[in-house]
Amino acid sequence: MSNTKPVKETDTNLRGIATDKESSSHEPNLKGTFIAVMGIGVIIVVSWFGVWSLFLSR
Amino acid sequence: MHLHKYEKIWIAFGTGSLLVFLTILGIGAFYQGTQPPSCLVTLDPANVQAHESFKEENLGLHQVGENEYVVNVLATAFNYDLGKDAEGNTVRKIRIPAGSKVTFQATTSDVVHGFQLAGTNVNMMLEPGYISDYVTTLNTPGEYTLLCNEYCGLGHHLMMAVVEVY
Repeated sequence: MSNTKPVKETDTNLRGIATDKESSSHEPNLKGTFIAVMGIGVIIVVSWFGVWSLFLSR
Repeated sequence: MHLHKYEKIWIAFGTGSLLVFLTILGIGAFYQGTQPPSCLVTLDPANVQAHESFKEENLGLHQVGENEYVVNVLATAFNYDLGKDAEGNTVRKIRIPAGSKVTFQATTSDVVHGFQLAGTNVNMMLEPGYISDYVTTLNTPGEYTLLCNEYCGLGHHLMMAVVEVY
């Protein structure tokens, strides 16, 4: 039983990429989410002002 | 609570947009006096003729000032009653000079009807017992279709009239 896998300082995540246990709690990558959220936001704002300008011009 | 930098940005963006929209709506409502077309002016739907504006002889287009008009409309399934012309024929089309200030006053004596002047901002719901009104300036000459946009029965699609701005 001496072969029990020790908790190492360097572990591997699901993708097998070596990660540091300490830094594995660091910020997730939200770049894609950010682009999607801001994209929807811009669509909403542009369409809101589009409808508003249509209302004002009539 | 820890927030990701991006989360802070999109929360600020969303909150900011909401504030901008509400500010614009607030200016429209409280400063410019925009209000819903039906502002709780009531009448008896079973006897709309009792109201001055909807007496048979008062229906249709009336000039009330140099450049001011009132249009009284009684909607019923499936017709907009715009009164009768000098020869006694039913009016299907009214003509208004461009740039006039027009007050549309309308009600219904049966079911809910729509009142939309396609291509303009005139768009109201007519409810039995309420008078809906919309004040507008029609600047662009053309023929506009007045149509019902609330399904009111089998003849709903036939319910229309014409307003010509010249």
